[in-house]
Amino acid sequence: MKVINVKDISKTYQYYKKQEGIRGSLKNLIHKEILSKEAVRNLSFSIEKGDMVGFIGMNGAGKTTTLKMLSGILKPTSGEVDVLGYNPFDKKNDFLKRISMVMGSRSQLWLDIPAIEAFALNKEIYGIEEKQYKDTLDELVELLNVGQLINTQVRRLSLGERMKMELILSLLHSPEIIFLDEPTIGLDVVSQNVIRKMLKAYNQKHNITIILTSHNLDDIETVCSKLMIIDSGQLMFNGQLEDFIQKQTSTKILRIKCSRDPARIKAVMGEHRVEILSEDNERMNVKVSKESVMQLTNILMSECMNDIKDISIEEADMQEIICNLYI
Amino acid sequence: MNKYLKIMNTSLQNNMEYRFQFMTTIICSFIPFAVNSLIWLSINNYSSDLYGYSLNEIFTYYFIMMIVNNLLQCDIAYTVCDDIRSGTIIPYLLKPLNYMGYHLFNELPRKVVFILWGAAPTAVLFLFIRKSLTLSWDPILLVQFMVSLIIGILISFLLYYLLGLLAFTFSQVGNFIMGYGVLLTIISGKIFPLTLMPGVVRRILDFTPFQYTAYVPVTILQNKYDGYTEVFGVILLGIVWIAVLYGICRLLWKNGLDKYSAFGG
Repeated sequence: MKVINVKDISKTYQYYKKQEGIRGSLKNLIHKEILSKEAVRNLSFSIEKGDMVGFIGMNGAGKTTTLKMLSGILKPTSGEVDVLGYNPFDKKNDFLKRISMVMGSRSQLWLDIPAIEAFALNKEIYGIEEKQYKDTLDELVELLNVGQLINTQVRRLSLGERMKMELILSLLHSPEIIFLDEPTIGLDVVSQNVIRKMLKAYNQKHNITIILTSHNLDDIETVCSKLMIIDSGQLMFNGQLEDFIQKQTSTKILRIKCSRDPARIKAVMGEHRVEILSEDNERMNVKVSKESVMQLTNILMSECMNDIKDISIEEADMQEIICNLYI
Repeated sequence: MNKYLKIMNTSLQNNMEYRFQFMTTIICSFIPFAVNSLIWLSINNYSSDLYGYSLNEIFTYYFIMMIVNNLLQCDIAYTVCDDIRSGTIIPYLLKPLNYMGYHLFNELPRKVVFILWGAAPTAVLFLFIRKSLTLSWDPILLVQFMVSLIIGILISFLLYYLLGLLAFTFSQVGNFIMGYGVLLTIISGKIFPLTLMPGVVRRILDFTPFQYTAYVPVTILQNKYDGYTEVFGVILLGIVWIAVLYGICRLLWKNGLDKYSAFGG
């Protein structure tokens, strides 16, 4: 079942241009040059119920703008958005009760009082039944392991603890879709892991649809099964995460530590089709096709034994794949 | 529990954390009261004509004004402006919740806290100067005063809320808010009773919403209006203004959201 259906949406922002210095400021007083920037261009996609979609792209690629249009904060300049059968921008209460959004850089908690008060407030705002509220709260507190913290003044919580509270807050009303905009930004590795695990577990149990943006590709790899890549407001890829990785990883990375001048190693490799990613006097990273990697390693081992201190074969990781994609 | 009651409840708890701030605000509000009273004391030395007020009535005017002022104070303009400019408005847009309603019910508990912390110092002040005040405890007057106070609270809130909403159109509304604040002290009767204004200005101000944020409640409690009919008329106009201001706010809100680009985050 499709829960999100987006057809041809675009969003154009308007902004002013200002030249450098006070001169520019004065000039703007008289005449402002209005420019427009298309943050999102003719985007079309659909998302199935229960999908966990990773939504990635560089800063300013249009991720957040898209999420804001899906959640009804922004009105698309053109195109149609259908989420759960509603037009999000109408902000119907029935619609808002079925979605949720967490923004890593924006808090919904009250700093001066414990998180539990914010939870209780949301219970009334969303009209959550007492029993459901208790059950959901218990479940989430256990999943995130924050039992004693919900009674602590939010101001005194660490960033990671706060984010866990944000997650609880946004899941209390059992939404069917949750938009997560960089939920792990600035968090330590342990907190990141707890949050990823929790999202996965929660998805499996409740079949909630998750749309997640992150610059931390580990988030995407561990949590998501689908991937959307956006660049300059347009979709570059939309499909299964596995397909993407497989398609992009027809190559492996050979990491070589040299014990002396790598000229000989380079000479040997010159006979094969390889791409040197980086090199200095001690280290070389080489991209080799999957098929020839074993053969090349063998040759290197036998012919340049004395030049090589260490050698390893690695899968290209998401980070590199994505970087290569943009170059 | 109703969601707006719960908002009041939570906001009350939040506001209770700021005891010291409330106390100092209240004690500081004694200063303008004292200054205004002293000015009129010296005016009285030169001229006994105080525009229809006796000296004690003038003291009383500023004494009630001080209380009204504390109760009507509201920072909502800056809150709304910041929410819009920095994008902190987003969480509210995502909830099945009315943004204006949220802020109104978030604001009301501040009044309760003001009464809670302000009652004692104000009562002490009252005991010291009660001989110079002419306060009537007529229950009908008190009821009229309460009604006008509620109208005043709503109008004051709506006017500041409206100013805050201008942030949708203008990127910086801090100057508007400040300018409005200065203008308001004069046209609301905060500095001196509106009866001191020249005839034409006076008649215009009689139709504006600003008088409800200061002059009207004080004048009602001082029983300076011409009988029930006039009081009734004034209250009715106040209610009309609430409806009009609410309508304008709704319009600005709708138009603003259509164009809103929700920067940041």
